[in-house]
Amino acid sequence: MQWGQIKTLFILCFLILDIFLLQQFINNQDTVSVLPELEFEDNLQGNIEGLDNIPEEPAEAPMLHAQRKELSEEDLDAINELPNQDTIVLDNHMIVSRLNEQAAFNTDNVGESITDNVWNADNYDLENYAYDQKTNTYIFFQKLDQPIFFNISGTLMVHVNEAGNMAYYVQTILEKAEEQPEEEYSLANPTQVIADLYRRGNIESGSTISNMEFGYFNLLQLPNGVQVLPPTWGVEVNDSDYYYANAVEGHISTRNENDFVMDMKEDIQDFVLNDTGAIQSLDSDWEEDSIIRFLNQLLENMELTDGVNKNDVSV
Amino acid sequence: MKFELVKTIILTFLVGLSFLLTFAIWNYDRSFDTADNTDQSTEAVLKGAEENKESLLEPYQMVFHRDGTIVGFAEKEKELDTFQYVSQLHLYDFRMLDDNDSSGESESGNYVEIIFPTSMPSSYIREIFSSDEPSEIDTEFKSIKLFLDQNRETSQIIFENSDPYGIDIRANIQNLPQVIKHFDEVFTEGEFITYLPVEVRNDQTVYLPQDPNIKGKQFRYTTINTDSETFQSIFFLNPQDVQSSPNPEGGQTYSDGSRGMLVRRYFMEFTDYSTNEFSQSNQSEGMPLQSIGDQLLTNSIEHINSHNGWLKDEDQIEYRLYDLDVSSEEIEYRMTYNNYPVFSLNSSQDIATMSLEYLNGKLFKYSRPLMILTQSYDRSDKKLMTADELVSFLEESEHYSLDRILNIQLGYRIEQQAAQVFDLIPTWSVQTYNGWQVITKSMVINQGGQTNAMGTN
Repeated sequence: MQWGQIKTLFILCFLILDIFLLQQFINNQDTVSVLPELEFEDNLQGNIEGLDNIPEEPAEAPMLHAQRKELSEEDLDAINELPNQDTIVLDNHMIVSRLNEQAAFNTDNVGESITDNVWNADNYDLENYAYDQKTNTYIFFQKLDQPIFFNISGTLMVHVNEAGNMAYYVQTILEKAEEQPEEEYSLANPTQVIADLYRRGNIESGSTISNMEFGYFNLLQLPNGVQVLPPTWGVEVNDSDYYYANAVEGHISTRNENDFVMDMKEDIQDFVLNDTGAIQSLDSDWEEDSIIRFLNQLLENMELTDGVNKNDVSV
Repeated sequence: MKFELVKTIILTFLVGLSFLLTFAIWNYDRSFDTADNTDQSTEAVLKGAEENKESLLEPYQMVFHRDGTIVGFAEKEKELDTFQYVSQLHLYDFRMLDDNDSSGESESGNYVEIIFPTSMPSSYIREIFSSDEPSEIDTEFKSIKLFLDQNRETSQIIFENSDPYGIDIRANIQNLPQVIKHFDEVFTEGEFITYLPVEVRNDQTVYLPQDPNIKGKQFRYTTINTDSETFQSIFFLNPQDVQSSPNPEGGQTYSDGSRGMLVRRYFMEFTDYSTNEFSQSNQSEGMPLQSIGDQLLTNSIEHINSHNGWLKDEDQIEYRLYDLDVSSEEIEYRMTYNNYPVFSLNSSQDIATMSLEYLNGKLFKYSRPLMILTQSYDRSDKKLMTADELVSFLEESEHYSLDRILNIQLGYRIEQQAAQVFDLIPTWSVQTYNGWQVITKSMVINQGGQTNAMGTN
């Protein structure tokens, strides 16, 4: 009889123990079933504007191999024929041009102002451009089918003076390398990229995705030889901040317009200080002293802040 | 009776269920997706070896203070055997050393001073000693003083901070009489040379062998083909996309757009530009420096091990932790030969060290040599300056001043004087805030009047 009572007691004890264990077990299961991504997407909808700007394509892309374009005799002839400007070419790949007659720069339709004055202007993305307020410089990215973001070897920088005229521009050109990689990589989901930026606090609540496009961007830009450009999602937030998410590996970086202008400045400065032999004028009347003076003034201008350009390059 | 049977069945069921559930919870594996799969693919390996913490955390000098004299082993490699013995001692009663512990008083007695190349977090003590009772005191140490005094009841061993105002740790040794006996034997059996104590910056004392007697060596070597895809797969996720181009300042640069590898002869520097302020950190901010120090050591060793990156062929060549900067997350391992450090003349192509720099716990820069020293031959004997001559050179020098010198070491400089071989040439080297600088013959000659001091090289 006593054994029966002990058994009842045991049953009660084990029942309580089993209920506790079962509860633990279920709790464990629950922690996995939470899908944070879904929550994030819901969260994004409410907190960020401009989600319609997120493109859906492409889902796959290869790397891009590109190199600096060396200008041929015909190219130089074509450039020389551009109206209203004196042009110099640095190391056969960088075009620096001074506009003689004041060419108005129409900020509402930048494409028009540029197409008239710049060689092969349609190689650049004239719609989605960056603007450096400090030096009053408009930055256009070259397109090799897709835009190449912030690449010192494939960009067009136009400096606009106080009067709202194009004062000078600097142009560099990339071309596709002969051998292109074949392997296609599946790319990161663009919505996921935005969610990532949001989670890290780079995009704050209330921000607007002003533009998001697929292109190519690299962190190491070798000046000579073939550059490797990974497929990249370029995100522009509030028309002012740029984020570049490597679509193959997922890491994110940012670029600042003024840093980019300063990089270009350093490149030009390098020629003026160390390699004047590589500076070639397309206008035979333009004397070397005067060219160096122009370049020095141009470098000084690039240093100016807040768009106040007291020493704008003049004729 | 039937009711009892039902009860038995229920009980058995419940007991069984409790076993099952316990087992399920026990084995429950949170199968998190490893988000950190972006780490370098490291299937490819170099021809080197793997290393562990113990062999990298070794001292560069062992000095015996005995009856007022300061001596060290004539054969420097014996320091390591003795250190091996010391590291097996059982330590207990770790405490912070109070000011009134007046260790200075007892320093007149006999003690062994074990000096490391760099200051290390106190947590490394547990990597060195097999102590059950690791020190919880968060400080740094650069040298160990082991007192050979039977009557000393506390602070039998002291872990000394290189900062005079920093915290020191003291501990006791189990079976001290046995240890004292061991060192007595070492002392009667071994050959010893005299050391000259020299005071440098921050009242630190460095010990220089009075009459250095180290032999130069020549090494044959093999190199690593940096163009091979197997080699590149150590550093790049997709080696098939890597392109190379000549570097304007010499050498060759390899890049996949996000990372760069600069190769100059036998030296390479890898930089991962995708590691920036946006890279998700593996560690939380405000992590104590001590744990960053632990993580730096573990991560860097694991990284180099993952591609068998410790290039050493001869037994006498080892790598050793030589510099550790926890605040800037930098760690450096230096090549040593017979426990003498090896220095490189050219700091922009330092082939004597492997250094790694992390950003928020992720590898950012990694530079290393690309050659493996193989067979060695003796080099003809060269007379090196004595310690006294070196000190007077430094005192007279316009370039150096003893109170700005952090350390002085005797070692080798690595140089390629002929194409087929690397030379390890005995050298004095001086550490200032600009890093290590080798004292060369021409420096001594330029100073004038001491041309004989260095002899011919």
